Amino acid sequence: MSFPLRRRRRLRFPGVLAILAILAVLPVEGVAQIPYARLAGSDAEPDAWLTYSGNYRSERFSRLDRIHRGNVHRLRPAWIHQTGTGGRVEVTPLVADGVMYIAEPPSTIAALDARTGRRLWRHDPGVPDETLNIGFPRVNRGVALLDDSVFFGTLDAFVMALDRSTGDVRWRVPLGDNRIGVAITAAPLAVDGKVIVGMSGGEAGVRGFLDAYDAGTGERLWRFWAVPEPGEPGGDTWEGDAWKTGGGATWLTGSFDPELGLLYWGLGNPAPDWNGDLRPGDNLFTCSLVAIDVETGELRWHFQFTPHDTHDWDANQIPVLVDAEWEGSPRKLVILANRNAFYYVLDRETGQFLRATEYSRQTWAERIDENGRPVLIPGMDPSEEGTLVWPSLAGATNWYSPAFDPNRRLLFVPTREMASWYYKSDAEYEPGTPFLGGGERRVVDEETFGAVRALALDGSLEWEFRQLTPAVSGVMATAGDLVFSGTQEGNIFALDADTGEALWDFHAGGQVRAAPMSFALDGEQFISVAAGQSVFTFGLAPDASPAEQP
Amino acid sequence: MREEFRYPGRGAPIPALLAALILLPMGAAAQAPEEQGRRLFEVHCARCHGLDGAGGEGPGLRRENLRRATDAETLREIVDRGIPGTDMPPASSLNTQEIGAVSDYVLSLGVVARVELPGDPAAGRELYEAAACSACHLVNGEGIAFGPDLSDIGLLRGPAYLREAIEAPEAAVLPRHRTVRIVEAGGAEVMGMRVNEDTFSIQILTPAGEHRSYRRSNVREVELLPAESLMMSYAGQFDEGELDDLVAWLASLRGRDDAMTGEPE
Ligand code: HEC
Ligand code: HEC
Repeated sequence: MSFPLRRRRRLRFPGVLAILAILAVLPVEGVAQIPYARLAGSDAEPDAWLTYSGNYRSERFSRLDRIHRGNVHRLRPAWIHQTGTGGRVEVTPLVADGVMYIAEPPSTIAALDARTGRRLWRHDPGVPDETLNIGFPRVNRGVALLDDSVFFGTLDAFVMALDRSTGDVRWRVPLGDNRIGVAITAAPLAVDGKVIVGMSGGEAGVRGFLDAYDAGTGERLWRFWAVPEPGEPGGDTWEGDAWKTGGGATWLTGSFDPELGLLYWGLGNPAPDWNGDLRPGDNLFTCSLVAIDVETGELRWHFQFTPHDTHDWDANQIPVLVDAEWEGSPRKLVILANRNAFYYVLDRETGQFLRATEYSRQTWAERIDENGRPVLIPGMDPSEEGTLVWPSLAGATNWYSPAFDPNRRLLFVPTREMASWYYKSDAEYEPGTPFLGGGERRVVDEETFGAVRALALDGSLEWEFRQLTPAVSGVMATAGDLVFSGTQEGNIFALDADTGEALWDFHAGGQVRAAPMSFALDGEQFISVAAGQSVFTFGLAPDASPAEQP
Repeated sequence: MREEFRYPGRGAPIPALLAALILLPMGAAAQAPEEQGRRLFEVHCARCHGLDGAGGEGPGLRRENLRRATDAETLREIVDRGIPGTDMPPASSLNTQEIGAVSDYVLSLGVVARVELPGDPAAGRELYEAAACSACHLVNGEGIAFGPDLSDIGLLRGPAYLREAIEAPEAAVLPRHRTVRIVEAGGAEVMGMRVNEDTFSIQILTPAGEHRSYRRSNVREVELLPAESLMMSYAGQFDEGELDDLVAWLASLRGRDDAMTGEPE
């Protein structure tokens, strides 16, 4: 492995020039940069996995086909990386040029040799013990890559850039105040010269926002507020001061359409979660998908799935961008399975609502009307004595990534069939404490289970693979006609993308609370997924030669 | 964002919690705390601890000295976080003030005189031996370990539940003792207690004390029998007085004296 060259941005000392001149004549093959063009054109480079969801459209689809239905039974662990940090590992690893970049809980970043799993460097930003995580575990779901940097957010709400070759700090800027509950768990999204970073903290009554930072300097370029002020568009969907503590966190990684110059980001639930009396109105833009101009941070359009939500059914689920025929004409679509148990199709240029179908059991809406607004079933709000509602608080799906197979035009959705008793209580905002107004009791019985569901573009069910317990793992699809996912019980498995039949499984010994990804080295394909406190990487075991057979 | 509901996680500052505690929410102030505590107990705890706290699937709480909840602070913590590895869940839907109110209510139960059980534990013990309960249960290390260890069953369950467990075991099966029927590929039928399972496999303990593991794809049928117990009903085999004796003995089982539980006392 040749020693990677690091490009300096600013030359502080003239003597450096001489050194650079020497280095310039040394062979630099293998020292690849990750310019924006590689991110935007990632489909042409299936050996790498360069963004959280695999490409800007968030398909989480690997175009590698070396592992396929005919040989997936030979999948075996190639190596295992044990984080040893004690917390949950929910990361999607990124791989570029033979190096894997992962996040370990709470906010440590490591670079591993993708061939062996041996560590190349590790950076622990030293998150203080007293750092607040109100409403979510102390996790980090991954990094972003651009040029010579690795970008990530810390639990105590700093955005950081590390040198890709050494893990040394390039810059570190505060995104928000953790003492009132602002934190970062999501992987940032890097675009041309910018790093887009979402935040967590809706359960602490934080007013949500989405930020863009200059990739080179860390300077903040814009901030989009998820909850508008009075007088701004949408401001009239709040009363009094409720908007100031209105929630709408941006806690998962969104998608990007470079041609339209628009970011698509899901926004979180309103605060307090379960007591809606304290925030009358639709509470825009909570529980919405927003399209944001990547240059200015201005809102282009919004679509609210669950107006005045009282069940914590936020809309942070990953939106998938699809170009397809829709009712006879080619259209730029955005599709997603929402936590509220409905699957939606929208026009991604205008935000126009096109279709919604129920993909999982729900008892809160009679239907979705022609404008995309739910027609509510009365009496399904949380109450003091408890109200039984499908889906459960964690929703019909959640942050667990879906996958989209562009050849089959199927969306694979990790699904939870589960109900909860929802309780309502009083809530008073106190900075840095939970601002909830109730909670849930999950119902675990014979009707509780999980599934990977394959939905056609119109939302119709193509097949389902049933799991013992509700899904908590993301899904990845591959050009090898396979769908990979995991279970709470610790299984990692592969399904036939046409039928949903299980073709391979492996017991990892820890919950799979992460989404799989795939990469290749020297023509060999690998599948990686985190389970328990480790990252597992699988490759094909050699075919038993006739001589080896008994 | 509430993928997994938790109050402030590991490392959350206790002072913040205490501050929240002092802040009584508006509605709550209007309601007498004892009344609020009782109502919350009925909604959230009674299904396991009994309406009056005398116990059921969970232990009776009408005792001055609780085994784990040794002081008011620990009690509150137990209610907030549950007891990991047991069936005692965290009160995840209650806010800090409500946890305080329900904990105070539990404390107030402790000063109520303990419910005296009818029945003679010594006579119950003899019945236990005579009925060969020890063919399936351990008490203080003695017997055959097929069913649950009963050494501290008196701390874990209330008398009404214990009575039901004897007369109608099928009505008192905890989810983790679920009975499973498996039809093997060759057609043979095996019954056992579910020990573990996942999406692809299931592990059972047969009445012969043997562990078996099956791939779901390799068996004809896996059936959970929630309404069946591998313990036969003893209904009609004891008269009322004998049942009282047996329950009194089980209720007196509170862990062996030499137990090394590692729990703080
Ligand atoms: C699903 C059943 C269930 C529910 C609901 C439940 N508990 Fe429990 N609880 C248990 C069980 C079982 C134990 C015994 C655990 C052990 O020690 O193995 C327990 C133990 C306890 C203890 C410790 C007793 C001791 O001896 O120290 C307290 C206190 C307690 N529960 C209070 C509550 C309160 C208050 C609520 C309602 C907010 C509640 N529980 C709800 C099942 C339940
Ligand atoms: C053939 C084996 C067998 C015999 C004999 C047997 N049991 Fe059980 N017992 C079980 C099994 C299996 C369970 C767990 C399933 C259930 O709860 O029904 C159980 C459960 C119990 C429980 C509930 C335990 C808990 O944790 O909730 C009690 C109490 C109990 N048995 C008491 C008795 C008594 C008293 C006798 C004798 C009169 C007896 N058992 C005889 C197999 C047996």
